[in-house]
Amino acid sequence: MDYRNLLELTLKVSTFGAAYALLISILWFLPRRNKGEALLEKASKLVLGFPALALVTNLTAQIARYFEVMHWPAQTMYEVIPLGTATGFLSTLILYAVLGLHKQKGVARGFADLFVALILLGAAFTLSYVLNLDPTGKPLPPALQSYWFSTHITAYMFGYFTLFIATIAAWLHFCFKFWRGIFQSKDYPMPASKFWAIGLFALVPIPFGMHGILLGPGILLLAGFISTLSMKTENKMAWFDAWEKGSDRFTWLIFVVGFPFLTAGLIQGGLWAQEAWALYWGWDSKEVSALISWLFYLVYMHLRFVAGWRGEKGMWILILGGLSVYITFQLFGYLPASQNSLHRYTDMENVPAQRLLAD
Amino acid sequence: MERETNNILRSTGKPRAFTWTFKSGLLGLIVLIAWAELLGHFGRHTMSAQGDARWGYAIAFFFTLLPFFGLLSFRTAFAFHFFRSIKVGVLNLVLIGLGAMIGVLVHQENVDNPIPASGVASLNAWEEIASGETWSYEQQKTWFFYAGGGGNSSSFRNAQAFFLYHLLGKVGGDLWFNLDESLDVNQVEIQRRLDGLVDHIPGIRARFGEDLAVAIASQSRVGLETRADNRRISALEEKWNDSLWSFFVLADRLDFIRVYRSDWYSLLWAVLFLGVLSNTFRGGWRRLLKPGKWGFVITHSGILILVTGAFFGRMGEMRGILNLRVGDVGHEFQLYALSPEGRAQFRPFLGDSDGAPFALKLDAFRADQHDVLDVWYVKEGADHKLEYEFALDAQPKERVWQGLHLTYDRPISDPIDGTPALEITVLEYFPQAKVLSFNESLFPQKVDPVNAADFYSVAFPAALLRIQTNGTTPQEHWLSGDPEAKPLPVSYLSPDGEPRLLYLLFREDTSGQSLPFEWRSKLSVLRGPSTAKDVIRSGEIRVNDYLHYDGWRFFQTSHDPNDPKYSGIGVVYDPGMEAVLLGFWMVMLGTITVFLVNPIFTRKHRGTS
Repeated sequence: MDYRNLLELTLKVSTFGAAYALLISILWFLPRRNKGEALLEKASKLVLGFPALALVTNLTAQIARYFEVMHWPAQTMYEVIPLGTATGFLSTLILYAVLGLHKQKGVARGFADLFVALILLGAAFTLSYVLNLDPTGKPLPPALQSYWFSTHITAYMFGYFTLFIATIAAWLHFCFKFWRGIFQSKDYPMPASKFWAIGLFALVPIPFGMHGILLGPGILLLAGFISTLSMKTENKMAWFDAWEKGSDRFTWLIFVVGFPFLTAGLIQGGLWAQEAWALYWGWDSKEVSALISWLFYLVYMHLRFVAGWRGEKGMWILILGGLSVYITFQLFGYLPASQNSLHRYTDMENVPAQRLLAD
Repeated sequence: MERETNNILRSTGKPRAFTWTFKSGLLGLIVLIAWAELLGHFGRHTMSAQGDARWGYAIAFFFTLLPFFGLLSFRTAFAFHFFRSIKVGVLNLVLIGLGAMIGVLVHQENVDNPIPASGVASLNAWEEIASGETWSYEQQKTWFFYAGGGGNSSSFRNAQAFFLYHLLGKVGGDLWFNLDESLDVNQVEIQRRLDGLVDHIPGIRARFGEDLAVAIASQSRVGLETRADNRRISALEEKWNDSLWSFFVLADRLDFIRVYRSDWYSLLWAVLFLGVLSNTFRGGWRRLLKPGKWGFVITHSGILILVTGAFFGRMGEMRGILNLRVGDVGHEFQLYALSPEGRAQFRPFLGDSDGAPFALKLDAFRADQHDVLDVWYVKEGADHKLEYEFALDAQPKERVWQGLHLTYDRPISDPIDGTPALEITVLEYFPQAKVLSFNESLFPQKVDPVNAADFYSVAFPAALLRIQTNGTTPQEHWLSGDPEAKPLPVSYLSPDGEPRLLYLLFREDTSGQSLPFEWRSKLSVLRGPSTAKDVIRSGEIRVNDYLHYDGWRFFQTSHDPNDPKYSGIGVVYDPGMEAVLLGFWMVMLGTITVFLVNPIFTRKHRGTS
């Protein structure tokens, strides 16, 4: 099997895994008997198998690509993004242990399954996008022939995708908060400004295409659906109290796993540039975009440590940080300062088969 | 507010330290920024003005400095608490981030060739006061940065229009642009043109594989859309010219087009340094020795060292290029930075340790291009001449390495898993080789590798291919990358019985379309009292591996595909680099210690408290 086949296989595993985890998650939110609970717990144990399997197929794909292009597969978006999804799957497994999701019971377990479902769904969307990209393998220019090429990009990918997961977790919190504010407005009143903020924020990512629709209105509507199901149970959305109490720690721990890798990616970029051009920092727009993302998280950390910004205030910064990472990673080419960037390699106007097009 | 403004006296009569909040901290930072801008303005004019005006600027500079010393002398605690305040520190980080955002959202001028200080103002006033006059050098240079040569992607106007086009295009596009309908991105027309490919893609997929078919389809769509977009962006440049010019003037005045070299941005880094310095070592040295604090101390000390190194680097760095041909000796190099008049500037090599001059000799250079295998399927054309079967802009070529296995020409009905009619395997591959004998068709028969350690010897690559057609017994052929070598003809029957003819050409890719695979220079450092200079150091440079000598760094930076003897050697003198590198390592290791090592050993994390 070649790289492309293996990516398609990973896409299938992710898609099926997302559907399975979502189904199990929804079942957790429905009323059930004791026997059902035991069955559901067994079924829930299988959920983690999907990111594990996807990691195996994704890593195998990266190995296959290595032999197709004979260098670390991280030069084009066709190679870098799947490297990112592989680190995302790895990160999911690590977070599962760090956050203790395997120990959760009842609706909390459903929440863990929902969390995994969203990550797998995000990976599936990402991989389906990748399969439409230009798959041409390109030789490495001299500057990229360095041991930093693998460590710098891989550290960044792990940092980026883990912090994306933190963004999803934070956003999920606000989405459920939104629906509880609607369904249980008497017991849990929420100021109108917060409704508007969440509602508007759901619309912000829409221009970014399918990913944006999934992340913004997609998750909000999914949370609405699950909240509606919850409201039909005896305890309604009482589970949200436990989540709300632990959500700050939950998102913080994801940050703790991702931030050192983001820092390592940033610094390794400087060390590498120093070796390549004796210029550790050139204020290149890609470097600066990465620095901006890093500063978001630095501010989050310091506000949390010393200014007491726990809970939702901090989680908003995590969401903005995720947006910044996305801009750095995917929208960088549209920034005005990217026009002269050393990180810009492609001639977008190139049409390779001009004479085969219709006149 | 009360807390912010009251510098309350305690009952003892001693002044209580001012508590900096986010609001007062922001105000303090804004005041500092304004102060830094004034100080920079007066300082630069003191250096550049002539005659009496110089005294005026010097006096203004002095009086601008006074409040700073006044604060330090009479309100030491007030100033100290400002820098030590975490809230001020966080605000400062936010402002550094905002500055960086401005840096990526506004097209930046070239630091080595900036627009002249008076350029924008004089060009702005040009229409009114001197209409019809020829532009001065400053005005021409400024305009070139602003508008480029028309559609120039590196111009300010084009970059900003490009950004706004894509940003606004996401939210209602045409409502904002209101462009002529003839410029619309006509998806129907693009699709119509792409439909022309539909007849060819299955054949390309079957012949060359899925990747090339997807690449052609994907690049063609992106290319056609980008061309249409770029036409619209050029139109927007003209349409929005007045607004973009106004923005340009504003961006120049606020230093937004040179953020990273601006006084206000430098000040924010200085505040960061003082903030970290005053916080890291507070509470006594015993506190710093606690194992739980090591990560914190390493990270923050790293930031201090890094900023210090960057400061010294900025004050004393020189960057440029030394253009040499093999055998040449260079005593001076050309700075990347041009003079204010736009002329090239040269600097001699002076050793860091004793200030004595030295020179650099290029002993050898070679750029090793990628070795590729061209695959040319041909057919007989209308006038009985051979022509390419696929009218692609560039015929497929494969990078070559030992063990590479290539397959071609599967059935159109099963282009993925069908049996290929042609299989090529690279059995042996020598990047540098010598052909010992030729067969009767003048193809290499016996080939020996050249000693791989001698990168600089001029020898062409060679590869032994195993070629199997229609499942018959494989044939082995040596191909040489000698430019005089002929392409190897291969004929066979396609899966549906059609005769096929293709040529295989193995060569070094010297088209200049891509950077070489590898490039290296051998350098000697010459130092001595007379023309008979002594070689005191020799070394080899290549990308990612430079030569370091007495404060100078030399690295491989360019070559000329048309002149194999030429080597472009980058030259850097940066007195702060070691400190910056040490700082980098400390920040990275410190962060890992704080977030990954400490929690593992302590089995708890601050986040849980």
